[in-house]
Parts: sequence; structure tokens; C-alpha cells
Amino acid sequence: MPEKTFPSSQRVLRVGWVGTGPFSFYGHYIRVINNIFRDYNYLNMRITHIWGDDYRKNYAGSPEFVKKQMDFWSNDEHSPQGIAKMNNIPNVCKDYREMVGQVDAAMIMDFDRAYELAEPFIRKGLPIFLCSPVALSVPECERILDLAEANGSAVYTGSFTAGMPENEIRYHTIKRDKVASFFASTSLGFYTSYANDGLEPLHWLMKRRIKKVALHGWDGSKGYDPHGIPPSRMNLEYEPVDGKPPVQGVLALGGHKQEMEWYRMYYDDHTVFEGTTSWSNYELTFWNFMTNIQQVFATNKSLETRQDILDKLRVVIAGYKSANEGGRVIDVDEIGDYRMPTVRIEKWNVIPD
Amino acid sequence: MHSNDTMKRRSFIKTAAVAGAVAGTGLRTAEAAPKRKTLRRDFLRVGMIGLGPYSHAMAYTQALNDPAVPPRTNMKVVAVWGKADKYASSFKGTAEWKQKRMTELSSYMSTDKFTGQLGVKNVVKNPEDMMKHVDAVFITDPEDSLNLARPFLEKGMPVFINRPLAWNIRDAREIIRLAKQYGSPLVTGSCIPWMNEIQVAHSRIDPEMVQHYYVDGSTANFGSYMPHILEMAQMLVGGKVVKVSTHGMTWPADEDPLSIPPVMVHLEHAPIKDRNPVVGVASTWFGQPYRNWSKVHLDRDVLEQGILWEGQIGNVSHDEHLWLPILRVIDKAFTTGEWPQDADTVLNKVETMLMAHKSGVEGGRPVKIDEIESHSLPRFETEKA
Repeated sequence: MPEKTFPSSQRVLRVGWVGTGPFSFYGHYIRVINNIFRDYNYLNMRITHIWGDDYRKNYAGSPEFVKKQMDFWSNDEHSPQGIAKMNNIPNVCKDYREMVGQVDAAMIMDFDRAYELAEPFIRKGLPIFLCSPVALSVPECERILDLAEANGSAVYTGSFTAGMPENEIRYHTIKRDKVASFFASTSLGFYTSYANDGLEPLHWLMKRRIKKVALHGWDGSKGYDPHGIPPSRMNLEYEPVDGKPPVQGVLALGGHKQEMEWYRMYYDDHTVFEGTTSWSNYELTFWNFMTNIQQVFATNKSLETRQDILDKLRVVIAGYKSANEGGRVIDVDEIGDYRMPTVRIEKWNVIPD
Repeated sequence: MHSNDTMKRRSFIKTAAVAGAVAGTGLRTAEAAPKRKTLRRDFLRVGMIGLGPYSHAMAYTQALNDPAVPPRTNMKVVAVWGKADKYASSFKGTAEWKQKRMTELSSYMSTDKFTGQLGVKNVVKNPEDMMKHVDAVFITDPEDSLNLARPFLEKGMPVFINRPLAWNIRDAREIIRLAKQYGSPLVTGSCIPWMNEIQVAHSRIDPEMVQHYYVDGSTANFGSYMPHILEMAQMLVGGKVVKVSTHGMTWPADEDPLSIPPVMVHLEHAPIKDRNPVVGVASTWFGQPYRNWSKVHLDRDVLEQGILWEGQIGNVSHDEHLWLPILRVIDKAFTTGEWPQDADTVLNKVETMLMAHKSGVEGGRPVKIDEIESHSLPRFETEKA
């Protein structure tokens, strides 16, 4: 498909896409950014460079399972070459460093090497996006943020779910000071990416810091990230505000349901604020979030703070640590350098030798 | 006693059915209406044992004895007993607050109302004193349920024990053992699971299709109200609860404050066949318009069900909505001698409460079913969390 035209007055940002692996949302954002769906592109940025890693490091298990996954990530829809062809990306790089001098911003999509992949762009003072989860551990994330602050590089992070239209509307209509407790749920394929899909909107919905996390229903699969976990629950205890008892919330992960996300917020007067979020199409689902990313790239100013980024990461890591420690309640300030899993396996209860 | 009473009850049901059929023909004139016949009924004589802070003695007696409506079960309350100290030992707090609560309690559980308005003939000094007056008993002070129930169980009398069945697992096991040994039909639990809304939902749920669930409910204190929510969950999804984690409890283990903040209780059920364990979460914070609410996720369906506040449903009375469903279950069990729930289910109600409470007072640590042997539910009602 030919590249779409746009007014000459608009400066189009050149963006490097760094990582096409199992945590990169399948490159689906690129379909919207590079506009494969219509004649006019509302966005003023394009993915102009793309690089992918060797993803054998991200799988373990039977040779058949690993081969099946490798075949998937190297096919016409998911390999760097295939994505480039589908989305009119002119440059497929053999090394991510090649694109540093040729782009205005970078999207770091492989969290398992986040610091390493982000570093050359940050050292150039370029704005970056970190796909969720943003890093292996809190110390690694802090290194990225420290470097970004030193170099004047804006860092924006997260999951598209935070920008889904229904969620954005909810951020403005919720009476967050009245929330006493809540139930929420999100779809779940695997923990690292999908738990964030539910946690990110909750972060913006509540705008409060989660202090304690417990994950019930899954045993953590001994440090792996399986395809599908049993329906599980993250209990989220927020820091108390104004002398009130801490808000207790539950995010359910996975299981059968009709919608993608669901929120049932209980106010302190026992009224209920309830709603769902569902996938519509690529454009409606991603547009708002891509617009946020574009703004950060264009202005080199983030739409979130260092604390937002670290708080979100701490929660998803605390949940994983809790799962691996029998559902123990984890204070987010005790997770230290605990690491997210980076190796995916086929079944949650079949652990590779 | 049972066979004789059963015959009388059958006679009553047959007569009532004929009367209903006549009414159904639309005959409304004085000429057409058959001459009203006074029916003689021999009710099961019930004693209410316990007028303490966890007791439903007044509510159940009103529902059973209400002189303003025709009898709605085959039971009548004929005797009551309450502690001589007016439950002073059940409260912990300032002298002023204790006095206030005792006054509220004795006002609500007024013996004058039992005897005057509700026709209860016997107010006894000791529980055993009502033995000669009654055919069955309701034990409504659950914190001392074993001692209160023992003499009646040993006589093989039908017994209902208000929720929770006992304050610790040893007493619960002993109650069940006595009931089995002496052939006492034993009923226990919250009224909520037996309400029509929950029974309808229950009838639509295959336990082998359940993945996970959410429930909530109106809650004042933990000991008295948590069984409503937990037993509702157990009724809906079935399966033995084997592990519980409770988050949000901030008060001492022996205290049971009124008006608790939101508490989340995460439950894990024993797996059925080769399925993943069912997990659920119960919240103590209700959301209008429902007093209790549930959402159960099945393999290919989602079932949501709420219970409106008692008295909110059109012409259905408060008693019909809230109390009569469980009273009819008790009625049937007392008359037939059959337990409405098996011993394992009955015991698991107490196990679940104990796991939930132990986890809560231990900071949310997941507590397994084999960790509750020495744990006890709280002894004292207190004012605040």
C-alpha cells in the first residue's frame, strides 16, 4: 500500500520500532501509526525503522512448542520484514543502533532488554515510549529514568488500554474520592503484558498509589510466563487517604467473559459506578493512546511522571512476586530487584526441566 | 412425633389445596363461598435459645408467630431464653457504649414483645427448662452453640443453629457428631443462600462449569454478616472451600466491630476433576440497589444476580422475602428429619469463616483448611474497627 499524503506544513515524526518479540503487541500499533486502513492519516508520525531480536531466548519447553512460536514470530505478519512490508516501513535494521541518528523518537517494545535498547536513543535526548511492562525490574526502570532525566529525554509508557475511549471517558466521570472498593477484570493471555492491560486503566482511574498486592489463583509457574493462567485475582490495597480505611480493589485476570475489561466501583455511599471496555477495531482501540505517544514525541514532554511509571511497574512485579510466594501480601516497597519473567511456556502447570 | 405431625401437616396441605382451588374459580359472592371451616393445626413447638447480639430470635419469631397473617410454616415459637447478664460479657468497649448496646439489645429482644405481641408463653431461666415445652429448638447465640445445643441434640430433637454454627472447628465437629449420633435433624446457616433469587441462580449453575465469581453483601460486623456472603457463594458455586485470604481487616482477633470498612475475602475451592480450582472474591461493601449481589463466570456464560433489600419487591412482605425461605427449609427438615445440607457442607461453612477470619487477622496471609484447628472467631462485639 502506498504511503499516504499529508500537508507539507505538518512535520512528520520518524519513529524507530525497537523489538518485535512476544511482548511487543504483535506490531499492531504500527498498523494504526502507519495507517494501513484509510487514505488520510490523522497521525503525524510514522514508523520508519524497525528491528527485531532473536526470540528463542523468550521460550522454553518442548521443541515442538518452541518451533511453533519461532515460526509465528518469523512469519509474514510478525517478523520485522513482514511488518515492514505490510506497513510501508522503509528501513529494516540488523542492529537497533543503526536507526539512532535517523529517527526522532523510539518505541521500545521488548521489555526484557529495555535499558539496553533505550540507552542509545536517550543519550541522543530523544523521547521514547516503553511498552508495558516497562522493564525487568524497578532498578532497571530507575536506570532508564535517571538516564532520561540526565539527557532531557521524555519517557512515556504503558498499554493501549489506558487510552481506550471508554476508559478515558471514565477517568473524567469517576468520583475517585468516593471510591471505597472495586471489582475489575481484564482479559489475559499471559501475565507480563496482559496484567498491565487491566492495571494501567486502574492507575489512571484511581490516581492513587497501590501499597500492597496479593495474587491469588496462580502459583507463578516457577518464574515462567505461561500461555494462559488459571482465572486469578490481584488484591490491590491503596494507600489510605484523609484518614479513611484503605481502598480494597480486586482485578480479576482471565476467565470467560464477554467484555475485555470490566469495572464495578463501589462508592462510600454504596452507589455503584460500573462499566466495560471492549475491543472495537485497531483504530478506535489504539488511536487515543497513539495520539498521546505522538504528543510526547512531538513535545519531548511526558504525560506521566516518574512516580506514575515506577508505581505501575511496582504493582505488576509485586503481583508476580506474590504469585510465586503462595499469595503472600507484598508491599510494593519491598520488591527490591525482583524480576519479571521473560520466558514463556506452554502451560502454567507444566514446568520445563 | 414425626409421623403423627406429618399426617396432620398433610391433612392441612390437602385442605389448603382445596381452598385454593375454590378461590381459583373466581367465586367471590357470599352465596357461592363455602362456609369457612376452622382448621385445627398442631404446630411444631419451637424454643428460641439466645437473645444475644448475633441472635435472630426476634426476627424469626415475628415471622413464625405474626398474629396478623395466616400461619406460614408448621412451626410456632412457644419459649424463649436469654442470658441473665443481658449479654454484658459479649461487648467490649467503654462503659457508656456497652450500656448503650445492652439497652438497644434488650429493647429489641424485649421479652414483653415475645410474650405480649407474639404469643410466646414461656420465658425460661435455663435453656434446659424449655425441654418440656418444645419439639425443636433454634440456637441463636452461636458463640456458645455447642453447650446450648447439647441437651437437645442428646434428646434427638431437631435443631437449627444460627450462623455461624460454632465459634471454633472443634465445637462444630462435636455438634455434627452429636446430631448424627442421636438422629437430630440439623440445620444451620444464613438466610441469604435460601432466598428465592439465590435459589434461582443456584438452579442455573452447573458446579462443573464454574470458573470464578464475585459476591458482595451488606455487612455490619464480621461474625454475623460474613456468613451471609460466604454461604451465598457456597450455595451458588458449590465445592469445598480450601484456602482463604482476607484483606482489609485492621482490628484485633478477639474483636468484632460494628460497621467494618471494605474487606475482600478471596476463596479457593477444591478442584473438581481435572479443572482449575474455582476462585472467588467476596466483598463486605454492598452496592445499591442490592443488599447482596453475585456474578458467576462459567465456561461459556456469565450469571449475574442481585438480591433487593427486604421489603422492596412489590407486594412481597419483608418476612416472605427474607426470612420465610430459610424457615421453610427448617420446617421441612424438622418435619422430615432430613438434613437440607450434608455434614461436609455444614462443616465447610465454619471452616470457611475460620479461614477468612484467621487470614484477616494475620494480615491477609492465605490460610489453608488444615490451619484452623486452634483458631476461634471473635468473642466481643466492639464499636469501631
